[in-house]
Amino acid sequence: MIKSLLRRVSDSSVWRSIFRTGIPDTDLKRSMLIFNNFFLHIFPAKMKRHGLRFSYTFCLGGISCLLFIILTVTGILLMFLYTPSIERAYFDMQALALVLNGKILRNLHRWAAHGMVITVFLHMVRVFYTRSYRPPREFNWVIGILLLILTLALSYTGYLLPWDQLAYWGITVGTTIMAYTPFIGKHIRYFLLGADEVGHEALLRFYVLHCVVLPFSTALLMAIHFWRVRKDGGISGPL
Amino acid sequence: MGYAWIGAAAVVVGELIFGTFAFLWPRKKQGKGEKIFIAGKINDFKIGEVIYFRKEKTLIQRAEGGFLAFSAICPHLACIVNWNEMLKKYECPCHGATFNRNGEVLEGPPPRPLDLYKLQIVEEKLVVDTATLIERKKFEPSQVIKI
Repeated sequence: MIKSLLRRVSDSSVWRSIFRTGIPDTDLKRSMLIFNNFFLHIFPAKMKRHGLRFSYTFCLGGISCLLFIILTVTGILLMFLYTPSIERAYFDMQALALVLNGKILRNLHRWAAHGMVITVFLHMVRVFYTRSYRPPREFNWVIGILLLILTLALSYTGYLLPWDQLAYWGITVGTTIMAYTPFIGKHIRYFLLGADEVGHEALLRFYVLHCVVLPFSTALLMAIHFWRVRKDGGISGPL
Repeated sequence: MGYAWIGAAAVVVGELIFGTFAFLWPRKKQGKGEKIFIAGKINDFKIGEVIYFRKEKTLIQRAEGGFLAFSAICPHLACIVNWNEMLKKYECPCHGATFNRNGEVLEGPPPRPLDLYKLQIVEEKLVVDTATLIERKKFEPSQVIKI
């Protein structure tokens, strides 16, 4: 009864328009199921046995990606309750405590951000110690370094948004360090802050960078990073 | 012909990049008149007293023979230094730098003493020009504005 019902559903034209493969009862159909699904095609249909061993990769790249997804979801939710203006930012941040789940969302965002910096760094360490940066993967190493820089930039721009004492002086100190760059330092600081000191312009600039420019750049580079892992012959071999 | 296309494409891309940066380059702020303020009358200050002007980020000190107007912005990484009345020294909360009452570095990372602002005494009043910053290597008695 149930079996025939399931078969009728899976043979219907609506179902077949979404899942083209049908019931995966052969190896060919099983691999076609993976290829034909947008979300699963990121995973290889076949992979080397050692690549599945936890102690080889420690899942660090995957954890970083998961944390990025958590940060995107919680970040978008937080954007609904936040105003990037110096009059309101701090109070909007405090008012999160009055909203159901507000504090847990903010803390998820905060701790996932700390975690992502750590896992991205550890991922880099793992890749280094397994010598996975060598040809043919040398360009993917470069993309990885850009992703590390973007992760740090995301972390730093997000640091200003609560607009508390820690944020204000953290950004003052950080951008003054940038001003020590030879010749163009003062201009870099002026361009980044939009003024001579940390104020409304800086908050708005950091907000746009944090919520739009940097996440988009990171997502694009992540897509290239994952695509190249596959194109460079899957996960690197054991030592 | 090929080079012409490459050249045209380079011009367009260059314009886009330049245009984006030019669009985002901050506007200059108006209003230079706000940079000068009157801190008060000479007799408002006791000898040895240091008063902080929060909005102007300026520390006015009445020294033995006259006045000094310090910028409260630490010459290391731009935090605001505080006057410690008990220990008679300026302290920066960010990286633990301390300065003596003349603004010279006692300990910590700053590369030079506290900067001075141009100070004039006009009709018994202290007029501070925060647009004119005086960087110095060390304290000299001539930096004290005589009454």
